[in-house]
Amino acid sequence: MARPGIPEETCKRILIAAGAALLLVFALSPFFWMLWVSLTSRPDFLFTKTVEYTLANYTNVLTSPTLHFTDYFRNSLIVASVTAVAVTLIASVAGYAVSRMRFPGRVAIPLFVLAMSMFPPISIVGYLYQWFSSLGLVNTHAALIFPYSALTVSLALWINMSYFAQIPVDLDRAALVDGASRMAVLFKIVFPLALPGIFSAFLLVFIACFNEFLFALMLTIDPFAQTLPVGIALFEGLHGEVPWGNLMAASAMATLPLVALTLIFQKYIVQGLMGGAVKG
Amino acid sequence: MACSVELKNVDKSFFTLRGRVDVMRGISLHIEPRELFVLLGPSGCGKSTLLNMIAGLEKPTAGSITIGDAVVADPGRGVFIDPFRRNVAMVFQSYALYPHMTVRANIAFPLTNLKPRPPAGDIGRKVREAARLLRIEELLDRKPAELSGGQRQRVAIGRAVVREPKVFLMDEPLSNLDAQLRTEMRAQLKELQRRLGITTVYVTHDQMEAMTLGDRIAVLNEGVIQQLGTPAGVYAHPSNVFVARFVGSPPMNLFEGAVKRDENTRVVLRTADGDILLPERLGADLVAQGKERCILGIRPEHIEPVAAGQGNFDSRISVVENVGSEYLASLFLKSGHIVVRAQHEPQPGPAGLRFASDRLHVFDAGARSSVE
Ligand SMILES: Nc1ncnc2c1ncn2[C@@H]1O[C@H](COP(=O)(O)OP(=O)(O)OP(=O)(O)O)[C@@H](O)[C@H]1O
Ligand SMILES: [Mg+2]
Repeated sequence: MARPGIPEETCKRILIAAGAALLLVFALSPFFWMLWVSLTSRPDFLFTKTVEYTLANYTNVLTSPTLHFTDYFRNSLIVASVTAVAVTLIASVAGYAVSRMRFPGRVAIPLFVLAMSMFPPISIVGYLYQWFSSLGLVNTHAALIFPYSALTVSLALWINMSYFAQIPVDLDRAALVDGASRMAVLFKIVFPLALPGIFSAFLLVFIACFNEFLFALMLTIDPFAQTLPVGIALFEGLHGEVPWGNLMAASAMATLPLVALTLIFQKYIVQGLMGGAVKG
Repeated sequence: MACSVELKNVDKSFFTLRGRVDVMRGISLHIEPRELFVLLGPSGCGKSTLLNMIAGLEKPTAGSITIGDAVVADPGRGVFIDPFRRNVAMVFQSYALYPHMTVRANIAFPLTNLKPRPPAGDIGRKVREAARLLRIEELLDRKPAELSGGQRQRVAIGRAVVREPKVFLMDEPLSNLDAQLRTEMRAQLKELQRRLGITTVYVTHDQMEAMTLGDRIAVLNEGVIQQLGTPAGVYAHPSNVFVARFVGSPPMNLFEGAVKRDENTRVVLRTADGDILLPERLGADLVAQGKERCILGIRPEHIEPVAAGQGNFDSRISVVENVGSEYLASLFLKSGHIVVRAQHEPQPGPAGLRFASDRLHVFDAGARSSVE
């Protein structure tokens, strides 16, 4: 393919670089747009001659008593972390059981869980509202934690199962013979080796919960329990216009925990932990 | 502290989606305390399954298993002791080192599971002792990925010896080493087992390993014990055709044919490759027993190449190989590939084969078991 004069290797590199650049632009441009707007004083700066940079939007969002940004932020953190921790734990233990132990249903259970998560949320949220009302759960963190857990556990389960499948069963067996109980095998051998998978599952569940909108909109009522996506969507401007600056500043700050988590976990989500386990 | 291991009428079936697979039938074994017992058999005959049942990693379908005084598995009475309560140590076919732990932590692992957990000082001392025994002291801070095959194998053994188990179970621990290292490690293993005096069940498909290592060996095929005895006993008196072919290298030569009298009224075995003259005693016995067909077996070292017409059998040597200390002569016959082991170089071409008359084995042609 390469024309004489241009080595094939160079061609390949150019193509890879171009592809990567395209992907980055595509993924990051909305994010930069958001940052840009959040740092300007007027959202309609595109149609004016001058651009004025300011941090006013941020201070406003953080300090305004009517915007409740910190309440939403706290609620989101609580709901997302409790769900992610619970789901990761359940999915790890369950994933171990279905990928390693012989019992009736070990094939059916993961499929069943997967099927559960396929219901369109809109089709169950109405019923959930009625049910949670009768239980007095509406407008609490629990109202979100339960459905989020139920809907994300299949994601975590399937990720974990695929990671556990890569760990040689002989390691479990060796540990059992070495005197480790099933639980000890899980915590001393399987979990440490499946950490990249478990962290990926944690991260994906956390992100899904942190960004979820529909359930949060329907099952919570006020800043006591509402989460960031709902809270930000309900931001109101002074004269009924959309407060773009505040919206973008709040959104930018809302992505911070996700960026931080990803950066922290990124170094664990590396492959190559398995070297030297078995011969050959 | 040395324990016996006893299996009584053990059956094992696997229940898979495609139905029931019977892997093991009526296994009964008594392994003495301090014994190095070898299970020998071809791939897929159920060696690992048997070892896993002793370890508690598989449950027998029927029968009972006893380690020392304790019944560890008896499905008939609903007894099953979990593997982590059996205090046995196992070296896996795959080594199964924990890749996220250093060599030190790998070896210490069985100790950290003891209840009560020994003090850190004791664990450290025992790990160093085991490492010294296996000459891996300088590797203690490495991870398994940074070790060679032979070193990994030593670590796996170190992990097994560190806590003085009741029984050692070894599943083809040497099968992935190169030939030279294998011979060396084999001798070391034997010496180690003698020194520690721990009852050992050693699994291999390599008859050479079985012959050199075992106090006793059990030859296993298709889930059934074919023969049980000392290596020398099994070699000298194989109880059936399978054992005769499987134990010994090159394997025993076999000729199948009809017991007949030739024109000189001598008793011969009439095979597809011609008549084999039987020694007088043996011929008389076979005739007296009324045997019509049988399989004659003779080991390569018990055949002497002689001039045509001088031996029990006339044939043609096709190839002669010099294997260093001796010569292997091959004959490609209708009966199969016949090998003769000779001290002096035979010449290819027509030759007579003289069989050592007291070293002949006769097997029933139907049951394929030894008649003697
Ligand atoms: N979990 C299982 N389900 C069904 N069949 C099995 C299972 N484990 C083993 N088997 C069958 O049992 C038989 C014996 O297996 P095993 O692993 O004990 O053989 P082996 O003698 O150790 O062979 P190798 O020398 O290749 O290790 C094989 O035919 C195998 O297919
Ligand atoms: Mg095996």
